[in-house]
Amino acid sequence: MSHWVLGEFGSDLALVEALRVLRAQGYQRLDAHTPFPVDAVFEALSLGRSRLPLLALVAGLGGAGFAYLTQWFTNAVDFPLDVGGRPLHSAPTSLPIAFELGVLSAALMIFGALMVLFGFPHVTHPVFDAEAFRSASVDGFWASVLVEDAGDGLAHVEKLLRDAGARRVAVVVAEAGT
Amino acid sequence: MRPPALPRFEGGQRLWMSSAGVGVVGLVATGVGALLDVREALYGYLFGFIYWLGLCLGTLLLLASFHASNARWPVVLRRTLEVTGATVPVFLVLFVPVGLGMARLYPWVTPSPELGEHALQVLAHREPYNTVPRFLLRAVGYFLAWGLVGHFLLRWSVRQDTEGSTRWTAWQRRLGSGALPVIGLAFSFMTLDWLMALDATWQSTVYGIYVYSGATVGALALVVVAGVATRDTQHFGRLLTPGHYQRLGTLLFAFICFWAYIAYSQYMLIWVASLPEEVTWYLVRMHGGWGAVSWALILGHFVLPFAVLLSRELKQRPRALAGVALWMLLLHAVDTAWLVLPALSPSRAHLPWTALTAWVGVGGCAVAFAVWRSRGMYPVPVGDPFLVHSLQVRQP
Amino acid sequence: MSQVDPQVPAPGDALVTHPLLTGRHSDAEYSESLLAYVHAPPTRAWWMLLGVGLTGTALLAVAVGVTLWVGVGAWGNNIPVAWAYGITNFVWWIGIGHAGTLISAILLLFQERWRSSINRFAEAMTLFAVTCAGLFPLLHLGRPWKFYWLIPYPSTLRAWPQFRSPLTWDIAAVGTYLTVSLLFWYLGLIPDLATARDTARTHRARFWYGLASLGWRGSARHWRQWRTGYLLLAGLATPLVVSVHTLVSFDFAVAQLPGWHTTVFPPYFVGGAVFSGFALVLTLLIPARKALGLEQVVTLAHLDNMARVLLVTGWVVAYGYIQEHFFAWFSGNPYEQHVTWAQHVGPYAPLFWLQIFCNVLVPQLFWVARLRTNTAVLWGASLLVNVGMWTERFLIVVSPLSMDFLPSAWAAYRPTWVDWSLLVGTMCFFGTAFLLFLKFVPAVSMSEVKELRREVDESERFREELGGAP
Repeated sequence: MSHWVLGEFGSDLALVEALRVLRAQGYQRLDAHTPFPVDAVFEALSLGRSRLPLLALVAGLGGAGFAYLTQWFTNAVDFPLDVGGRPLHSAPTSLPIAFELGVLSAALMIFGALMVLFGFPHVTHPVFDAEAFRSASVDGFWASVLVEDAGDGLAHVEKLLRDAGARRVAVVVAEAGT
Repeated sequence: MRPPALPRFEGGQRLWMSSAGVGVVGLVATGVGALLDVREALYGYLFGFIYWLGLCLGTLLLLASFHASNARWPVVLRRTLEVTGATVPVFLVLFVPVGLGMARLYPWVTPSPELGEHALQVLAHREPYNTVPRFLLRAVGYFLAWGLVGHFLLRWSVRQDTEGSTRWTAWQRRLGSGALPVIGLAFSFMTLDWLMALDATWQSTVYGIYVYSGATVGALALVVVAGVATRDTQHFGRLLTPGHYQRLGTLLFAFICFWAYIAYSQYMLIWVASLPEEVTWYLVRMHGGWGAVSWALILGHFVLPFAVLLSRELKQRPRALAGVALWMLLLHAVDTAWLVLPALSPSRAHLPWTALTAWVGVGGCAVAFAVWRSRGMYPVPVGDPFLVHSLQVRQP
Repeated sequence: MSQVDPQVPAPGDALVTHPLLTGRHSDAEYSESLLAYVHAPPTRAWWMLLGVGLTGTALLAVAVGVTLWVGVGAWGNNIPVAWAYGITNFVWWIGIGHAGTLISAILLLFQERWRSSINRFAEAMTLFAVTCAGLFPLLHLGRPWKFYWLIPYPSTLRAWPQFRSPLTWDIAAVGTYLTVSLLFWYLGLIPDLATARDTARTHRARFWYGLASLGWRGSARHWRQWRTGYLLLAGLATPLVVSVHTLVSFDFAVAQLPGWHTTVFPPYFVGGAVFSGFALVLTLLIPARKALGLEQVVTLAHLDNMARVLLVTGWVVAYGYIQEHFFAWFSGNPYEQHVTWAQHVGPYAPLFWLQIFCNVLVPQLFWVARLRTNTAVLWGASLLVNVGMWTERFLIVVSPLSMDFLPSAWAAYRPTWVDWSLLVGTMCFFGTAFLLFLKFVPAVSMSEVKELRREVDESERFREELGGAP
C-alpha cells in the first residue's frame, strides 16, 4: 500500500529547498502544492513544457477549416443560393464564421485537455484527507512524496521533511493506481 | 546594478556620409528620370517618400504611445526611436517635389473632363477643402506638428542625459500623450491628402488607420533591425536582451494582425456592398498584375509572418527576428507601392525604375540625417530613472 | 522567483504616486479579507438591492412574455425603423462585456499587473452582459423558438442558413464569445474556489465549493498546465473580443444605407465597446470596493489607469465621429450629408449633442491627474459615458433608418413600454446576477494578488538595491 507523505513549509523558498533535498535523495515521485504558481518550484521538479499550444493550434485550424467547408458546401454546392449577385462561394463572407469556430474549437480543446490532464473532477483525492492540507490554497507551501512501502520508508521521508524545515507533516493513504 | 556605461556615439561618420552620397545619387537619378517621364518619376518619388515618411511617423507615434502608457521596458530603445522620430525636417525638404508635382499626381488640382460628369461634380463639391494653397498650408501644419513633437521629445530626453532630473521624464510623458491626438489626426489627414487623393473620388473612412498599421509594422521592424545590427558595437543593440526582442516581436506580431484586420474589414465591406463609387479602387487591385501583388501582400504581409511569429523561441532569437523584420520592411514597401502605383498604371502592374531610385534617394537622405543627428548623443537615455528597469527586463 | 522583475511599479519608484497594493498583508490575511464577504451572511443592504434587482427581473420576465405572446409588434419598431431598442440594447450590452475580456486577456498578454485585482470582477460583468445582449437578437427573431434555423443542420426543409448575412455571423460570434468567456472565467476561478473550500466555515459551503473547485489541490504540475492554458485562452480571447464587436459593426456596415455603410465602423465600434465597458466597470467598481473593503487591492492606481483607458478610447470614438462627419461632407453624396446633418438639427439633435457631451467632452477631464483619482468625479463621468454610449448606439441604429432615401417613407420612432421594460429589466437582471456573484464568488483573484504581492516586493527590493549602490 502506498502513501503520500505531505510536509508544509512556510515559504516558497523553503519548499524549493526541500524539493531539492528530496530529489537529491533519489525520490522521484514528488509534487508540490502552492496557493499560486511558483516558477522555482517548476524548475525544482524539472517539469517540462506544456503541449497545450500544439493541441490548441490543431483544434483551431480544424474548427476553422470545418466551418469554411460547411459554408462552402451548404451555400455553393448543396443549396446554391444567389444573394444579390454575389458569388456562391464567397470567401470574404465565409471568414468570420470560420474564425469564430476556430477560436471556439481551440478554447474547448484547451479547457477539455486541461480537465483530462488534471483528471478533474476529482474531489476525493487522498491529500484532502489531511485536515492540515487545507492551508495549501491559503498560505501553506506543501511538498508531497509518494512512498511505496510502509514502515521505514515513511518514517525516513517524514524525517527528511522535518529536517528540511516542515512545519507540519501528514501521511495519507494513496488510492490504488495513483 | 548600474547600467554598463556606453560612451557617447562618436562614430557613424562613414555611415552618414555614404548614406548621404547614396541618397543624393538616388535623388539625382530620379531627377534624370523626371526629364524622361515626369509622371512616372513623380509617382515613383511619392512611393519612396511615403515609405520613409511612414517609418518616421510610425516611430514617432510609437514613441508617443510608449510615453503615454508610462512603459518601462522600452526605455533602452528610446533614443533610437527619438532620433528616428526627429527626422521630420528632412521630409519637409523632400516634400518639395510632391508639392511641385501635385498637379500631375492629384486629379483634383486640374480635373480633366475624362473623369466624367459625376466625378467632376464631386470634385466641385470638395473645392473648399481641395485648393492648392490650403493643401500646402495643411502640409506645413502637419510637418509643424510632427516636427515640434519629435524635436522636443528628443531634446528633453537629451537634456535629461546630463541633468538627470525626473522632471524631464514627466514632461516627455505629458508631451507624448498630449500630442497623440494632434499628430494622429495630422497623420490621418495626411493619408487623405497625399495618398487617397490619388484617386479622383474614391474614399474610405478607415484608410488612415490602414496606413498607420502598416507604418507601425515598418517602424517596429526597423527598431529590431537596428538593434540586431548594432549588437556588437557600442550602441543600444549591445544592451538588448531576449526579453526586449520577445516584447518587440510580440508587438510586431500584434500589429501584423491589426494590419490584416483593418485590410480585411475595408475590403470585405466594400466588396459586399459593391457600390460603384467604391469598388473601382479594389477592381484595379484585383486584376492584371496588381491581383498578384494583392495575393503577395495577403501571404507575405500576413499569413507567413503570422505563422512564423507564433513561435515564442523565434521571437527571443535576435537574428531570426531580424530576418522576419527585414522581410516585413520589404513587404511594407510592397504595401506602399500597392497603395500608390496602381494610380499610375491601373491596367497592368508596373514598377517604374524611378521608384527604386527615389526609394534609395529618400532613404539615404533620411538615414544620413538620423545618423548625423545622433552623433555626440548617448545611444540610450542614460538619465532616465527607468533605464535600469528596462535593462533588467526578463523574459515573460 | 529569485529573479527580480522591476517592471511592476512599487511604492517609492520615481514618478509612481499610487502603488498597486497598499499596506502589507500576509497570504492568510489576503485570503481572509478577500473572502470575508463570501463567508459572512449577507447584509441588509445586499438583501435590499437584491429585492430591487429581482423586482426588475420580474419586469423583464413580463416584457419577454408579452413579446412572445404578442410578437415583435409589441415593440415600437415598424417599417422603416425596423431596428430600434432591441438592436441598440444588444450592441450596448455586448460592448459592455468587452471591457472584461480586455482587462483579463489583453492586459495579461501585455503583462500589465494592474489587471490582477480587477479581472475577476470585470470578467463576471462580461458574462452577465453577454447574456443580456444575447436575449435581444433572440427575441428579435420574432419566433425565437425557431432559433435553430440559423444553425446548419440537415433539416427536412432541405435548406441551409444563408452565410453571406452578418446575422448568421452574429450567432457564431456571440455564442463563441459567451462560451470562451465562461471557460476563461471559470478556469481562473478554480484555484480561488479551492481557497473558498478550504476556508469555509460551514459544512455546506465546504461541500459546494469543493464540488465547484473540481478537486483543485494546487499541484505544481497542475499550476504549470493551468498557467499555459490560461495564457492560451487569453491569447484566443484577445482577437475574439475584437472580432465580436467587428461582426456587430458589420451588421450595419455591410448595408448600403447612408450612415451605416462606412469602413471605419469596425475599429470605431471596438473602441466604443471598450470605452463603455470600462465606464461600467468603474461605475460598479467604485461602490463595490468601498462596500467590500477592497481598497488595499483595488487602489487609486487602478482607478487612474482605468481613467486613462477612458481617455484613450474616448479619443478613438471621437476619431470615429470626425471621420464619419468629415467624409459624409467630403463624399458629396446628398444622402450621406443629409443623414449626418439631420442628426445635428433634426428630431434627434438633443440626443446627438448629449452624445458629444458625454463621449467627447467628459473624458477630457482625465487629462488632469487629480481628477483621475477623484472617485466622485470618476463615478459621475463613468455614468455619463454609459449614457452617452447608449445614445450613440441608438442614433446609429435609428436615425439612418428613419430618414433613408425616400422622404415620403420617413417616419420617427417611439419606444413602447415593452421596449423600456426590456432595457430596464436587463439592467436589473444584470444587477441581480452581479450581486449573486459578489456573494458567492471571490470578487478579487486571491492567487493573483498573492503573486502580485511578491512581485511588488521584488520591485521594491530592486529599488532599494539601486539606492544602496549608487
